[in-house]
Amino acid sequence: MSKIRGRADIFNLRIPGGSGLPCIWMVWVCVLFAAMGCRPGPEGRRADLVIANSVEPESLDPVFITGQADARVVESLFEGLLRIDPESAAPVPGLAASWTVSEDSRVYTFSLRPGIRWSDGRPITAMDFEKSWKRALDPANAARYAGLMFAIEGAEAFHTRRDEKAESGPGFRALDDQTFEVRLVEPRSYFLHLLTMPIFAATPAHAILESPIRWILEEDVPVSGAYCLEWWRLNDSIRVRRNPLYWDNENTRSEVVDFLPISNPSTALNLYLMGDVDVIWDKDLVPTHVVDELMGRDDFHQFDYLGTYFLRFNTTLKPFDDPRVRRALSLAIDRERITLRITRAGEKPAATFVPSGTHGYDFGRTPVIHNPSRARQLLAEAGYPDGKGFPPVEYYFNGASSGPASNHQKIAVELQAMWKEHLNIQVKLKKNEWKVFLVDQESLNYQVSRSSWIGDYNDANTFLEIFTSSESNNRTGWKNSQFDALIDQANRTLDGDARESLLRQAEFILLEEAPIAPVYFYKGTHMFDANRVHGIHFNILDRHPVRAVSVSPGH
Amino acid sequence: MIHFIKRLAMMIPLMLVISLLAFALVRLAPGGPFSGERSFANEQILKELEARYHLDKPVLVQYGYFLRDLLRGDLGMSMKYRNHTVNDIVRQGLPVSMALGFSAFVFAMSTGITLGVITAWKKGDLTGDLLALLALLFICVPSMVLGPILILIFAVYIPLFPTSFFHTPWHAVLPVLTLGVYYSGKISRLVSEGIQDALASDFIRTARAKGVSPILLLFRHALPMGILPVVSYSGPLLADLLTGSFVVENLFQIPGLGTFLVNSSLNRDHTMIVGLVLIYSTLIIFFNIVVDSLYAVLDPRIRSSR
Repeated sequence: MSKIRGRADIFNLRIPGGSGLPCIWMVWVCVLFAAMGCRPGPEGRRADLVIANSVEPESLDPVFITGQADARVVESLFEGLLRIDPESAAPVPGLAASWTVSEDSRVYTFSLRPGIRWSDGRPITAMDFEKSWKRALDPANAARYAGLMFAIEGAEAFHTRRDEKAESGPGFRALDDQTFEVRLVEPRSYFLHLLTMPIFAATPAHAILESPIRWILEEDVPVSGAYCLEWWRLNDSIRVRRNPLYWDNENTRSEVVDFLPISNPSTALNLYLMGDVDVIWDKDLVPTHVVDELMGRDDFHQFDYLGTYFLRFNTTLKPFDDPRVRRALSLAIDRERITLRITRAGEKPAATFVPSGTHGYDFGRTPVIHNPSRARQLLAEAGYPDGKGFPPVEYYFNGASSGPASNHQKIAVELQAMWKEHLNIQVKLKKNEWKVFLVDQESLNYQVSRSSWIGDYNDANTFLEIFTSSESNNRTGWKNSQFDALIDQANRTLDGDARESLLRQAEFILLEEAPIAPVYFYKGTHMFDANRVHGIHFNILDRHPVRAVSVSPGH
Repeated sequence: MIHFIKRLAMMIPLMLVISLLAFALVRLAPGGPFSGERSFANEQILKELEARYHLDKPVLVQYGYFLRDLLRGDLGMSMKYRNHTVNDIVRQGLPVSMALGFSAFVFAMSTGITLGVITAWKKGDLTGDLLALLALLFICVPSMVLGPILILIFAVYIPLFPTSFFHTPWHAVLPVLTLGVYYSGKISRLVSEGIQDALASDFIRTARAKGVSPILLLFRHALPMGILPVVSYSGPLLADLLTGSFVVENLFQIPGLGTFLVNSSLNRDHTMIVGLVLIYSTLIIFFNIVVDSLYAVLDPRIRSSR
């Protein structure tokens, strides 16, 4: 008995009626508040502009980034020779005030704006560009976007260490503090578009030298863009504040901007509806289960977007080494059924690989994309009349139970049914997790696989180029010398019409040979109240400089 | 005390085994940390990148590098978040996960014990049955259902609490409820069963015969016995709450480690997986040892058997 009483004393539960229990509750409240105390709160007021920005950026280093969400933040911090116009997304002068182009269109000479400075007060010189670009090309930094720089003389050799012994290095150099010269391999009509990409931005070599990997996390990191990085709290927020030394500071609209790394669409919608977020800025942040309801709202905006959902065929394996089989499978797909029943966000069925609306390019007549009888005929010609003797085939996709990848499964099931119905062939479905899927696709360890491609710049080349023989993003095993030659020739052609016609011929071959089957073009989606939020203009690249966006006061 | 220190010392070889297993398993998984939708310009660049993280070496050599860095308190660079070290991420995320986990623990304990005592006390009448039903309900509703319902009611329809993030105590209320409710139901059942067992035992009958008042019987005699199962449950419970907050972190956009733990394996972020597994297992083992020792202090039967 006495021992039991002793224990009761430990619990401080001596008084009948349970006044010990409220004690526990008091402890709870104290612990809770103490725990909260260690957390940094949201210092000061709410930011002037709060953006729901999809997943946490992998990096804020212009050289390392790959995702669109990363780029939105990086573009506000670092600027290149050119920047994009908020309305048209066309390249306009950035840190370079002007440039001249040589007669053969191969040498660009840029004049930097006089008096431009890093946010720490140091002048930005042409030498900074030379160092930034060299760093971007340095193979040790393994930039995934380094390929965008290969239009520059010697860049590819430098990046892939092909000319270890060559003295020359890549074809760009600072002529003096203000002048920067770039020599191209061949004339490139879209070269100025490329220069607005983050990988071409000026990065602070002096800060990177001191802290090569964590430099972006150091305090007061020098920036060249409209905003300085105030903090980067993982999975919480990235806050940027106006850079008073930015050359166009007077046109920066919002003082403080928060980017929230949100990957759950419902969370984004909740925050938006509660007024904690001004803009939902990513197509993946739209909760698909309420999309019908959202489409009726004034603050739900949709626009054409430079992205294509498509299938890749492994052309090195039977039966897909026969273009007739690939075409047959492609013609059997009822794309409208997929966009109307599954994706349901206004996507357009894709008859071509290059999205409609791409700058300076139009495929012309729309090819027939759904023709089951022609599909059956092609399959019969290939030796499989009514699907007889067709070997077992697998459709490979990456899946997830929720989020934007959850549609892949539904589309796979639909495709399976269409191929069964129209071609009488059995296609098995194989789902794998993203990283495994990527490795398998890269090593051609698949038969038919789900794919997508988002354009980097507003030109058909960003799409067509990936299916040239030497491209590492090809991933189909398809090689066609005629296609390669046409792309090559097109990129050397400066005359718009002549170039368009060459690219058209190339895409015609791509669609005839069908190493891929385009399914639909993505739609860009934003949520914001246009009466409150100003300066966001829809464009096919879905790029919107943050410096131009403002929220009306008083809301 | 010596026993306690001995058990703490035993943690070191255990941690080594765990880290080696985690280390080897992540390297067995298909798909690498650097496979991406956009390929590198050539194979050589990928190889160089992997070499920087010693991925070109045999696993045991890699493990050697890992141990060397670990001795300096360095868990390595994240392979996904290329500007961050694993230490950076742990420094930011661990306090948040701990705050959330401990708050939910205290909530689950206090609510669960209160509920359990009343259920046992009122057993047989309607209140008791209703409370028992409530505890059952707590156990049955998973957090991924409860969370959105709470958000909808208490943040959207009645804007009492924020929907997301973890900045002030207000921000913590809904996540702590969501995380703690299941466990409070469990504890309530443990307590009420424990008390009812105790109430049926001989010494209570003796006490009752001696004329001890029912309230005194419950709180002074039955509760201390009934609560013992909860003490032994609290070790795994703490571990559960500290590691199992992924769903809640995701729902409420809480910047804790749970999200990183799950995503790091999807990203094949080798350094991060091993680092986080090590940290979580340290916490789990440590709390279990502490609770075991506490149990020995509280229950004389265990103490005397040693």
